[in-house]
Amino acid sequence: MTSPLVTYQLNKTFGAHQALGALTLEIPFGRVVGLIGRNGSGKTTLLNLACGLLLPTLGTCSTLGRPSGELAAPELSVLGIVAQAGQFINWMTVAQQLQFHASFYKNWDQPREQRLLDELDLNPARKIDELSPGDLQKLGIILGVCHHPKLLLLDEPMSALDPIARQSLLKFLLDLVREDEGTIIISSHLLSDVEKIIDWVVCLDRGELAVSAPYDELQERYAEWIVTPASGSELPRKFAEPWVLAREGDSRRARLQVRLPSSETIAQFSAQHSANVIDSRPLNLEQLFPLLINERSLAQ
Amino acid sequence: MNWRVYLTLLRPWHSAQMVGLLFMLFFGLRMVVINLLGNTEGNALAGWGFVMPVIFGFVLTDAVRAPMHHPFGMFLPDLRRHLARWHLGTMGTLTLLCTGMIWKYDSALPPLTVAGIVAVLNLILLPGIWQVIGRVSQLFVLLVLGILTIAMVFPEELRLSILAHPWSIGLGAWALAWFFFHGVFSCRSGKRNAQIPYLPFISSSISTRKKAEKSEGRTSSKVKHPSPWTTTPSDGSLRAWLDVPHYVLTGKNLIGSFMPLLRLCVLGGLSAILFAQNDSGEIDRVLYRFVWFYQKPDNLIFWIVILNSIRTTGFLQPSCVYPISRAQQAKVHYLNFVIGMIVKITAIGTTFVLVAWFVANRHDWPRPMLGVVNLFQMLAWLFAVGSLLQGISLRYKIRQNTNAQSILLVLAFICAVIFSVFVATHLTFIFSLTGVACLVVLIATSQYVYYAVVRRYFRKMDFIMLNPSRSGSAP
Repeated sequence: MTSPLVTYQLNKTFGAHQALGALTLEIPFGRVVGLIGRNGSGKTTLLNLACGLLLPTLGTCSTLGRPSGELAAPELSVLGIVAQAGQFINWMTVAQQLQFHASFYKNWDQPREQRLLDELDLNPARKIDELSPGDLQKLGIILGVCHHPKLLLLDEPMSALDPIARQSLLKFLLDLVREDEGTIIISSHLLSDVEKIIDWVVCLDRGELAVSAPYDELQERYAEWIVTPASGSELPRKFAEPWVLAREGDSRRARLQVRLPSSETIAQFSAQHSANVIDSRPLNLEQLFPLLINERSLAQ
Repeated sequence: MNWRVYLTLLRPWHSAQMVGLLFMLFFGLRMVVINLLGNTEGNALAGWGFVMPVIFGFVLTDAVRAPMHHPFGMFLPDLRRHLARWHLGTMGTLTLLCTGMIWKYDSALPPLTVAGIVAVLNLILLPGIWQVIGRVSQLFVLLVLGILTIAMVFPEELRLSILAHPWSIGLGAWALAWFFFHGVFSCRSGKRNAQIPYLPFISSSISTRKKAEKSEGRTSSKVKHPSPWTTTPSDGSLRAWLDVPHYVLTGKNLIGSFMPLLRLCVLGGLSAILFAQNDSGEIDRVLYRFVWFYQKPDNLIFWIVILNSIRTTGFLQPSCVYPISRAQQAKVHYLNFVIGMIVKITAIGTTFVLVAWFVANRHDWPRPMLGVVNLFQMLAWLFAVGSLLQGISLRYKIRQNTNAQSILLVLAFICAVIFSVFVATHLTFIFSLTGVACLVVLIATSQYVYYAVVRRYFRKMDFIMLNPSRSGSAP
């Protein structure tokens, strides 16, 4: 199966502002991709380009094997989009909106629609202009996933959801991956939630690619150490090793975030600082995110 | 897409309501035109060839355009093809219906040519170019109203033109209909017409920041901010109250500020076209009659009530959160209403007397006068009808940013027309002492009730409207 989203030297500018700069990226098929980055890093622009709402200033963007600006019925019928807001005809009821959307897809899954309505606790008889922001987001999600999309783009899908609805959504997305075997690209600031389902991380920083890698590989690359000094000594205030990326704690016990070095280097580190690494654990996405950004800044 | 979904999209009940209201609007307009020009000769062409197609087109266009201009419209597979197929069927049926009705009453007219005209007017509001700048659509609606007015004033002339040039008019009409239809439903135009500012992804932090940066750059040199409050808002002085309408009326963008002028220009242009149909002597005659028409209070009410209803709803916009108390806002609203009425009556009265004098002097015709009794009548009826309409707009929260604005407009027309008929048949009663006493009572009662409604509204309303698309029931 070809890659559902490929960009080459993708560049998007709005007047003098460069939103994306020379982004070359290939999202593998069948992955759940976490698209992370700071505000203004280009996540939404990338999603806009991927679904054809925006056209590249330079470079190419190919979605489901076709230039994203030329998506036609065959691609659109397997593309799912969950936007932040504004997807609805306000005077309709939830049921009418669902019926309207369903009429354009041959493979609309009614049982899935009903299951989601139940799980997300959304009343189909309600009018759309009476829905809360959270309910609107739920409806947007249902509209985006009931036609078994091969590529699902979710832009901040959980920002207005309560914790219970978030859990339901995450569970559903996991089921979706198993059932549809499609690709999901999810942009979110709720990293602790997202990390439960993603297996690939794309991190953008100021419009450029910071990292695109499997999540487990990143977890193997970085770790958090708990370090204590050998008897009679103290830990230094700052570690000079370039692979020590952050330090917290005092002279008796420190918490280090490190890019994992080789075993020889670890031995050297222990000997040089008279320190013992008493615990090593993988970093979660919330801890990884600032490290990835900082490391890229330092590299530049 | 199936017929059931398409029918849902057309909102049958809502559409039927709108068709009914618009039909009454044009019926009223035709009465006024007949009153103005003394033209009582109507025919099926004006009604079924011009008015009904525009009404059908106006109502159904919005239903079809809505999904195409929504952000999701670009992602639904073959949306435009499906909509084009169904809409073509609907418009075809309506064209056949209208043509059939004309054929029934006037079989001399060539049906293909008539069908072409009907088709154009069915589709004329469909192209998205009228929506490029929000208020341009209002101008366009005015233009359509102008065309309809001409069609209703000169139905016989139009009929003769069609009979004289059936092929050229027919071909031109069908070509224009194809152009409108293809332009709207082709895929290429789909992307062009997508309402980019409403697209969800676009409203991301980047574009928001960029917009903010742009707007900061602009405001420093070009954009005029609304005048700051120069008085302590809570002092309750007349100056503080007068600052509120100033804020509302001047705190708009540049285009917004000039739109009333543009609308007047369009109306003026249309009037000029209307008058240009006659020779110079006829223009004066029509103008003189026009002035007499305005001198009658029932007809003047018709226009002033509409203008005032639209203008004062500006105060109900939720964005206008004034730094004065709710009680003061009620007073401001009421004062604006009263002052607006008096100013308009005086201005229009003076204008029509001056114009009439000018025309009468040229032809040695009798000079019309604006009598005190007339002025008093106008005030009384305007306050009564105006208060009623304002009360309705307050009760149902009809604001400028709701779809209900058009309903208000239609309501104003209908009330004014019904009222005109009533006054025209009971005018002599007003000149009696009892009549004047009744007018005084009418003014006092209507204003007491209206002020009570205004106070209650401002005391109980939510200033933030959660669901702007609804005309809304009480919170």
